[in-house]
Amino acid sequence: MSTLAVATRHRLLGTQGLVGAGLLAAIVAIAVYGVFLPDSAGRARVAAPYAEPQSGLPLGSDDLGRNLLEQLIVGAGISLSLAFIVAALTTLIAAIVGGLAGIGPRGLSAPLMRGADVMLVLPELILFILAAAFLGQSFWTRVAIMAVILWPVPSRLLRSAVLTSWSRGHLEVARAMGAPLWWVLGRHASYIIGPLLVPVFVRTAMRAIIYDATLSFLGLGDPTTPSWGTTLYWVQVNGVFLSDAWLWWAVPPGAAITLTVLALALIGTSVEDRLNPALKDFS
Amino acid sequence: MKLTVRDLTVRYGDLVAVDRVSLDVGEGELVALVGESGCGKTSLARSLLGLLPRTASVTGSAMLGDLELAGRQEWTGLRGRRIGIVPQGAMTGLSPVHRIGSQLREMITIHESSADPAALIDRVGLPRDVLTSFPHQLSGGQRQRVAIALTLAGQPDLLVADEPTTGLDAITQGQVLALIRSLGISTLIVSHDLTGLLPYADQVDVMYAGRMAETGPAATIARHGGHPYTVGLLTATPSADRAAGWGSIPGAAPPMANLPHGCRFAPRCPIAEDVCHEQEPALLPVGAASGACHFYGSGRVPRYPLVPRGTTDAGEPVAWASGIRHVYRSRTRTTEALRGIDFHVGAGEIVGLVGESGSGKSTLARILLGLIRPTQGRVELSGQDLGTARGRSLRALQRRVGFVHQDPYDSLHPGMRVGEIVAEPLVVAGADKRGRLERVHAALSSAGLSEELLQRFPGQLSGGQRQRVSIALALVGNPVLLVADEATSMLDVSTRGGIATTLRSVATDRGLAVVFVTHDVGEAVQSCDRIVVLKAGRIVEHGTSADVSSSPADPYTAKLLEASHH
Repeated sequence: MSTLAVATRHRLLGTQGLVGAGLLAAIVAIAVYGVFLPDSAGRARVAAPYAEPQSGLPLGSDDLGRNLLEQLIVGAGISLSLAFIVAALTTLIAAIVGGLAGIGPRGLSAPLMRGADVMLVLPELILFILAAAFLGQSFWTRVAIMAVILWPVPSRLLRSAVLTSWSRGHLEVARAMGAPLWWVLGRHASYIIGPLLVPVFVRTAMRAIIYDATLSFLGLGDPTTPSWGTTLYWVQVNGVFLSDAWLWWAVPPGAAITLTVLALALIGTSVEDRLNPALKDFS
Repeated sequence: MKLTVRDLTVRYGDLVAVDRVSLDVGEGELVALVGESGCGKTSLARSLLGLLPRTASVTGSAMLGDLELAGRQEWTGLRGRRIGIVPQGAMTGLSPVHRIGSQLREMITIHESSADPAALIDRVGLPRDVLTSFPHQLSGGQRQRVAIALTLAGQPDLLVADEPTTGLDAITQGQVLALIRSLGISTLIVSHDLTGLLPYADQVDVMYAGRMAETGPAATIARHGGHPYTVGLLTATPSADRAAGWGSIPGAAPPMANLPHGCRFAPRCPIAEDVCHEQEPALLPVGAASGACHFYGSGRVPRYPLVPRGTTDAGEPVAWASGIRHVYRSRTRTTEALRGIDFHVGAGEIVGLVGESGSGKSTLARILLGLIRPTQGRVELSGQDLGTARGRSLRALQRRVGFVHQDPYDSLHPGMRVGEIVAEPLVVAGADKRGRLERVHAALSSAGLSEELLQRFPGQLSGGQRQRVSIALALVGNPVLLVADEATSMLDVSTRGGIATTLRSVATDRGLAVVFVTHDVGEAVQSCDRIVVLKAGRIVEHGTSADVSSSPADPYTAKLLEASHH
């Protein structure tokens, strides 16, 4: 059983996807460790300001003498939980909107999809900045803003998936046998649409991490809570790039963002490659 | 130029797709390589073109003149110039954005040939103004002719055509084959359609499960006396002549990974004896032909089961449709699919709904299934109005209609076991749990399946078995009407008659009204009691199968019948 499970997992992810999954697992483990650190971790003054890396302070300290390594670890938890909550919310909204636009009542499809089109033509980053500036910077406000702005792309994708699955033979047979809608959706359509939610989720999580870091970097995050983007904001405010400190102050959060996005991208593209027959490589 | 293939073998890893096959294409000859899906014919053709995937290995020899093709790595200057490829489905093979003339000139330039576009167009029997046309302005048959002209641009010595008539109607198929024959170039045509090729081929090679089953001149092969498999293929192609009978070969072709011992056809062969299961037969020459059968030339005639005719009269009408019109609307245009149809089907009766694509036959089938509500007209199912029913009452009516979908590879949930699939209508209807298993078993045996399959997934079944699971699924709720939408069209020729036999037996045994939708008038003539011919949304012909096949009233029906007479 376990070898079979491993084999299926390998078939689903491939080598590339497994590397991504391993990387993400490591980052999640660090984030979980961060949750168990005391509340003061990364927030309290523990050393002289601008301290260089030394024993007990591997990445030195910032302008207020706060431990930079602890900021990095605590920030991982905040960035990841925000990304996953946003991804789950967005996938849910996209599934409902896409499903309603695909097979919902007549006359609902056009308004929903035109609404999605309007959202798509608006510049996302500017929307984020405006919303964050006016609505506030708390964790849940940022989650809500992102879920509201990120749903159009996946909902278009899921609408087409619903429409495709609706024309599949076994769904037509199920409808012809007099099965109610919830049965056709739960028993038949879910089998086709379900696997598509994985790449939707992963890609949304990826975009959420980037946008969250961007907002924090611009000073629109919560400056009192450690996060990767906030650390980069202080890097910029203090002109760290003029000294050697960029090496232990700016590079680690930047690398953390890059690695997380890379891990999610590896998982997302390899799952998508395997699920989308048009991308399958036959050679 | 002459092509000589000797002991050609194609392997994919451990699987042998083509097993020591020899064949000859003489100077200017047209040779038909015939067999069902998975018999190795396409692998053989691709090995001659160097188009096999990299995982395949080729051994043996294939000499074109003095050029060895088998196992060759370097194909530059051969494909197109020495060997021309006539592609399958010219619908997608031509560039949609270039005129025919410039596509021809491109080919001529690539192959540095001295051919002239106008002369090529003349040669394939098209008018010169085709040169300035785009592919979408041509019919399917004309496009296939253009594809042949493109192949001729490189002035090849040998043509290899893979199912060159797929997607064309019966009348155009004949014209394209006659054209290929008239070119006078050595040609190997790969096809599943033995009867369609017999009038045009010089030589016929029949393959079965990777081996050559029979080879000989077309005239000899056509005489119904050779290899049991060839005889089976001939009888399994339904003729529009009701006297001819429509047979089927029991069972299904073996998978490559699990070939039977001895003669590979023995498990399905009506004249097989012990020796057939033990010893693999070599090609035995008898006269001009030779066949791989222990009893080749012994005069034994294999008898295949024929699709039975209906004997009982139709009972009370089960489904009524009167004055049905249906219009599909999209933003830019409306399409009238049905323009006033009156139709009924009685208990125990099989009614054939015949027409080409776009005739409205599938729309009518979906109206009977309650999937589409007609724009106008009244549909009744055992006295109740199906057209106006909605919600719960519509679903209750739908449970009285069974549906056999066209595509057996898409109509069964891939993640459910056969037992669950067949029981689904009972679960949906909330039927009593205790009786379920018995009803599933009864439905499976009516559909001609054994209970061993209950735990299998659809992916582990053959096409014919899958279609039988579909029939069992349609029967399990004890319906009064069964709608079979092109139920045989995606199956191998040899198993089609078996499905029709099963439909007949459920109509007789269960007193079921059956609507058999098909584009093949031969199938309808052979298996139905009454035939309704649809054209552009109207009924053009209506009568008993015997009457329609012997004296069609409408010229369109007559043309259809003539094209499938053999």
